[in-house]
Amino acid sequence: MPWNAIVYALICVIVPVAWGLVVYFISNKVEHAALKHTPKGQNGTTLRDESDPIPLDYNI
Amino acid sequence: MLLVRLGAGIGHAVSLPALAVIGLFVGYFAGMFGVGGGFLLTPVLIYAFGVPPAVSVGSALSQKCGTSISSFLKYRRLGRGEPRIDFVMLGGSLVGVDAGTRTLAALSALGSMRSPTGDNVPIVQIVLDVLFIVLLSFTAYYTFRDAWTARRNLVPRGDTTIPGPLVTKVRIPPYLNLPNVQLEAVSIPMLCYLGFLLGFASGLMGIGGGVLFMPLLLYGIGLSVKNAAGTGVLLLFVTVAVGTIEQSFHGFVNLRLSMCILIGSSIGAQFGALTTYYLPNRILRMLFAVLVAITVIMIAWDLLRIFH
Repeated sequence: MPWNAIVYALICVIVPVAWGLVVYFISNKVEHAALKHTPKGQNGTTLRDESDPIPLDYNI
Repeated sequence: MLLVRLGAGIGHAVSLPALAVIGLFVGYFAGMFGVGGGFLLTPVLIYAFGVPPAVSVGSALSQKCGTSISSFLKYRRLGRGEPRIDFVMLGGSLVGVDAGTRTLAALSALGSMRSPTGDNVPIVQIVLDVLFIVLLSFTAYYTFRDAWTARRNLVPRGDTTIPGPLVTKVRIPPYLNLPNVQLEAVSIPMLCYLGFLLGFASGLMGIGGGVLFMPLLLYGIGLSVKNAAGTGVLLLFVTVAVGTIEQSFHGFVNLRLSMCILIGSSIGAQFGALTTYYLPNRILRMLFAVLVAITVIMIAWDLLRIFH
């Protein structure tokens, strides 16, 4: 197996994974920022804290 | 329209904005329904962009490396699911993805056949069409039936674990107890075979958990929706990463194509996820079934067009 094929195969995994990590950390930051500006609920928590968040894969 | 030659298996120029828009739409539906979107992406790349089937599958797998790592991190943080199911299934899954990739390579090497209209149609495309139609028809039927029957139930099915037929009927020793997800005596060989099936589908069709794994966990094993969602994310990530490497060795991965779609889909997924806060679970399931049914009709239409 030539080295360039091995390197390309690894790049095909590493680059999308790196992008996925960037998206994960940015969406976390945005979520935390949104939580800070959400009106407080009855128990002193934010309204979104009181409801069980629906992660993406729960819906099928 | 900013036509660019992407090379690596794609002979013609492809419109980058159109790719990004498709990525946005696929990402939107993926975020809305909680699926990876492979069942939409592979057929769209083949039919709308004329990408060779093997390159569509390989690039879809590469794109999934990005979406599955963020799913894995998210569910690891939530601490849901049963990771031991992932580890048991991993061996079968890695063998399966290898078998799927080899099958795809063998089908691609078969070349084309002449259709009645005089076009040369790759045999691999016809095989993938038939497989997509069969698999997606089952998924659409079961999802719609489940959403329809949930109308009358106050407690929707899926809130608790109810051992499914794969647990109660398949009795091949040795067994594994999974107290975290309220399951006892689950057949280990059965989990390995499921892993193989999942890996094979990933390697051959570029699909992941949404249309195959989640229905198996929900309806076959009987996990609750929350536990099913957290189970398999590690398995999916390792499977698509190994699948991508292997497909790349066969020349089936176009990194620029997969990145264009990944960038579009990661933006679309954020908007799709927002929709889940406004629509009830049952309606989302029904919409998912309708979307899958539309995809089946489009693939079947294209198949009929080839032969008439």
